[in-house]
Amino acid sequence: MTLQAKETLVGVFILSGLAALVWLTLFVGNWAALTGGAGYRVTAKFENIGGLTVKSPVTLAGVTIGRVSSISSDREDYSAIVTLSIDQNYNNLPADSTAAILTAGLLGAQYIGVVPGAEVDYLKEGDSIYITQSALVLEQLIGELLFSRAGAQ
Amino acid sequence: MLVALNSVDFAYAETPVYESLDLNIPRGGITVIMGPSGCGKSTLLSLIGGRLQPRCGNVVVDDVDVQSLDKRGLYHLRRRMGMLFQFNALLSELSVFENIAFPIREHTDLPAELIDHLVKMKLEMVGLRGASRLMPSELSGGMARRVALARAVALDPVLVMYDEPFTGLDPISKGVIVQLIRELNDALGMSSIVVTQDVAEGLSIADYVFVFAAGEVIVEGTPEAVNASSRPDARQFLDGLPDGPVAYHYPASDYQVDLFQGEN
Amino acid sequence: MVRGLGRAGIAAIHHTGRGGMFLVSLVGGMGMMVRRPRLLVQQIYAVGVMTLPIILVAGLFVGMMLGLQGFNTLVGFGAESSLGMAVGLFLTRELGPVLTALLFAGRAGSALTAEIGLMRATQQLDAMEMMAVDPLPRVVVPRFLAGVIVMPLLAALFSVVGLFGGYLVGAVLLGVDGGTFWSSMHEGVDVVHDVLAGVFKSLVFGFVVTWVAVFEGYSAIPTTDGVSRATTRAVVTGSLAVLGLDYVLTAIMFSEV
Repeated sequence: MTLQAKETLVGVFILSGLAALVWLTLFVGNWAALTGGAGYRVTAKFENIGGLTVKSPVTLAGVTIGRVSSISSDREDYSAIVTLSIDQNYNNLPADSTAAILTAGLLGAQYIGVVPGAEVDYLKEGDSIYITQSALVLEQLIGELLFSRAGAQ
Repeated sequence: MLVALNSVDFAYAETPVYESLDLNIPRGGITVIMGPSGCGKSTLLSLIGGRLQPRCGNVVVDDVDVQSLDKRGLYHLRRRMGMLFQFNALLSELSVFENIAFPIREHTDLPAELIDHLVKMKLEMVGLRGASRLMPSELSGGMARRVALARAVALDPVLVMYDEPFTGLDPISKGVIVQLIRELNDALGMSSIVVTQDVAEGLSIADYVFVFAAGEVIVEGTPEAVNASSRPDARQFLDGLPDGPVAYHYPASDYQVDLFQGEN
Repeated sequence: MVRGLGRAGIAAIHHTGRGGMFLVSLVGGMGMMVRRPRLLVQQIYAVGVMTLPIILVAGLFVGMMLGLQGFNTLVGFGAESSLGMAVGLFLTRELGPVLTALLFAGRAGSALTAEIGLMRATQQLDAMEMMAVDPLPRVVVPRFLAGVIVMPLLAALFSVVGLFGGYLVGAVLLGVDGGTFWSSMHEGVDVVHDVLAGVFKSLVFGFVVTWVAVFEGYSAIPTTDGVSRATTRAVVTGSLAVLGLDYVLTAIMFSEV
């Protein structure tokens, strides 16, 4: 094989390798989560966040409008404080919207679903969502079920 | 003196090779170093080329103390030396042409045309100009050695060292190499050191001869003087006698005792 | 016997120490790569392009296996929609870098050791030194750099081919919805933590495997037996180092997640 041919193949090889890396980064990995455009931050408190993690999606009617940017614990009332980073494009969420922690499928990852309220004012940077629904914990559900059945009897 | 070894001590790990060796190799002409295997002849070439360091004493080449040189200085010195290795050591990924061009390209900035001329001249000297496109694996033993020779003299060195140049060649190739060493030495005005076990070939091209045994020089002089030596160890080597000062039998216990003990 | 073990241990440490000094001396030779890029290109061909076929085939098979095994396991939880994520994570985080490194050690690493070892045994390296050419920057450094550069590229190609293998088995053969496959992968594979972590791993592996391979070749005993033993040692040491480092790197990089 001539030197020309070898060098061409090396070029092809390197280009395809780089292309593979780029493809993996952009189209396989969650590039949007990394570069997430400017967003405004809103907090919400939950009794139990279940399996919610940082970078979990925040959805409105099923459309992803942002990500969870941080999770911390409130020292006073022992609840969880979740900070949502919502895309600027979705700045028309009524101030009395609610946030619930939902599960995608049976074993799926958990995410926050936002249900819009009715107020005229919109949520802005630094606001809080007051009405929240915590994650459903399986053990609690079973316990409730048993108690309710016992009660019925 | 071109090369001088002064009180050189050398040993490989535990095995001593030289003790207080003094050797002077004259400038110009072909100096042949002969001796039985294991007497340290190739080690001598490594000491001169700076690949090995003596424990004591020093090696002086062309008025330069080899041990005192740093790496750059050593490389500088080596550019004036050429070496033919025992198994040719041609660079297997390069063609004949590129092997000879290698030292020229690495050490000079000559334009490609000039390098082309130089390489062809060297190839013509060894009679292989038509083989320039072949790869080392395609060469016969004799041809490979001639290419290695051409490469060793590519930069017109001051000193050329030959490590067993006649070994493993058929009589014709041997004759070719003998002639080439002589011709190149005279035509290029170099000094040559030939380390060999081939007595006839060695004596035929030598201007001066050293015969080694057990790490020291036992005879030295012109080929005629050396060949006339009456020392038993020199005679055994020069005449190729199977038994003598170098014993035939490897040290062992008494034969009868060993045989009959073995039966039990 | 204990004494023998001790001696062997000290010899191993000595060998590793020489390897470290060898590595340091390679640094000095890097400058030549800028002046003679052709040497590097030739080695990338020998080490990268020539290893590519085996990487692509292996990647395809591994990806297909992941698709199958993943499906069989997840379907028991009714979670087969997450197959894409499972295949994507396994490939980018672990199997891509590790298996590529192991295959590389076996194919390219052994070739490097044998090639350099043979040059040592036939006195080609000595001849270069006598011609006042330092063999380290000329022979060793291009091969070393080529290995480091090539490894992440090969690992990425392995992962890409593997993903398609997983898609082939999971979506085309076993009926997982194609769109679900890719979207669950997209959701679950994080750029920094998974893809970049895998790239970092393969860079480290490339460094170690190639270093071991060229060092063993360079320091091989110049006989046929010496070269063959150096070659096996290079493959074994390189492979074990990859597996050991994989554990360490995984523990460091994935501990918080």
